[in-house]
Amino acid sequence: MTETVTRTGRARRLLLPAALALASLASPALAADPAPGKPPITAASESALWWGDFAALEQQNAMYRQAGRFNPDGMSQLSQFRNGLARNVNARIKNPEPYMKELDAMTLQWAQANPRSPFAHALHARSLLAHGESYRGTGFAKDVAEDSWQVYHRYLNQAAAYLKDNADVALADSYATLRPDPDRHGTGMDGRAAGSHRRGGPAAQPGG
Amino acid sequence: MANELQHLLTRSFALPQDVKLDPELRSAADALAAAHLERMKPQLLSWVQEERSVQAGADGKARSTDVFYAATARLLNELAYWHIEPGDAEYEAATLDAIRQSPSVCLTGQEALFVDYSSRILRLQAMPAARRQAALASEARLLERWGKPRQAALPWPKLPPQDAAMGAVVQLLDGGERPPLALPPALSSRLLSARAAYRELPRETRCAFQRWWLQVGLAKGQPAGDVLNAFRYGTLVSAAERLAPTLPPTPAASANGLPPYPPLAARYDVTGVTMVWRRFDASGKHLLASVIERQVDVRGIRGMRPIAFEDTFDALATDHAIQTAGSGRTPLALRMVWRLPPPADGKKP
Repeated sequence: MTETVTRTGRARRLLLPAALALASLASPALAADPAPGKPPITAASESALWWGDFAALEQQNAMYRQAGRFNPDGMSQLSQFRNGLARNVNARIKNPEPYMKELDAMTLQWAQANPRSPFAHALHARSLLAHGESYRGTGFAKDVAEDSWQVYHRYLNQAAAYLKDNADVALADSYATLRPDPDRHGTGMDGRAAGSHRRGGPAAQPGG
Repeated sequence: MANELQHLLTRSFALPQDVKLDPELRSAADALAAAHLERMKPQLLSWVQEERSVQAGADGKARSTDVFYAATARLLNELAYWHIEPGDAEYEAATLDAIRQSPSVCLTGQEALFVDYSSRILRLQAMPAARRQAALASEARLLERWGKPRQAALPWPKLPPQDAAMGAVVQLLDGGERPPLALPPALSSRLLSARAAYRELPRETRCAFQRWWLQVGLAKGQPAGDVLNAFRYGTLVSAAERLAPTLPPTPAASANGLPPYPPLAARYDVTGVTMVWRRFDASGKHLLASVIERQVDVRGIRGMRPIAFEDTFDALATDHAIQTAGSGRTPLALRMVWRLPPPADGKKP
């Protein structure tokens, strides 16, 4: 079926001085992805995970795991690296479910493609744990809905089972040491202050 | 006037400091760009002179704005041809590997419009050092083609790659078949959680999405040349995007419901025909529209496809196809003719 539409334009001429037209081609500033103003090591790992650059993450992890990697102020570079990861893995985001599902899937694909990488396995386990924590939220345990607890425990168990199945490789990286703390209230894994539930509480989505 | 064109071209060949390059590569690429810009100076001047002659009226004079816009169109089209044109086989293989393996090829920094050269050099940065020298030589050969008669450019993919890729995203959101590759957070946060439209994405994110789609195509066994061509069309900085900051907003649709004439097309004398395909997706829930054919003419572009302007009418055409879906004829091939009227005063506009 074909339909013909003829559009007759009217604004034929625009008399902006030609030079002015191109001189005004300023580039709009993009919202930085991710936000600036953080330690370079954190910014680099945050950016690498944000864009899905496993090779860069593996390289950074190998570097910052070496002994004696501390900044002059005493801050562990490995911690700064992991803070960048946490900004993706524990991201506060509206409608987190599809985001967390993709993160689980992406990190699993990385682990499958790099079966001898302890970091890849650890990162996948972290993703599963974070997925569960997105249901638990960061508020008081008493405020978390029963169905959210169920999903939380399901992902926690899945993370533990995954690490157990891949323990011979995964446990070579201390990032695989998960410390879930379902009763905590105050800060998330990345140290950010808790102020709101990510989706825990009575309105939590069931399933996942 | 030629100086203005040179200014525009110079911006397209900038390598901003937030584009992460090894110092040696940056230095070699800057030298290559400088040589090209110098070589193009007389070329740009000759284009302006040629346009003065072509655009001249009966009195032998040409309006300077007409000459300027026509010469600008020619320059933008040269940039577009260069973006689409493949290199030699080794260059193509190295380019595909770089795009496939490295997300950093999309990190062109804060610059959103003049990423023509930086995006190419970022691909060289992502190549193994041993391949870079040969790739730089290929870049030099590709630059030497500027201003010379060219072979016919590869055609647009059957569907714009972003339309095909967004189809896969919608399917994923509906719980349908998963693509073979997961979306990284930069994409899942926007496309899945925020449900952003492709047009709303920043340039780096759009490039990452095109890169993801290239990887999906390769994982599905599609020919390397096809997926690379789709990536190139998907990441093309078209005239519509590049010149948007210089244009007034697109007016609302007219009272008879027909789409407005895009200000870009009015200014640059763009006319033509677009064929839109409107259909439901596989689930039958979502109405989609894509431009599947374009035939466009632009003042100042002669003897070659006006690739930089071919998508000028795409957004209005697809929006119109969706907005008129109430007529109930779906699927539908909608042929839209975009024609400027002759000037009322009988003079050249």
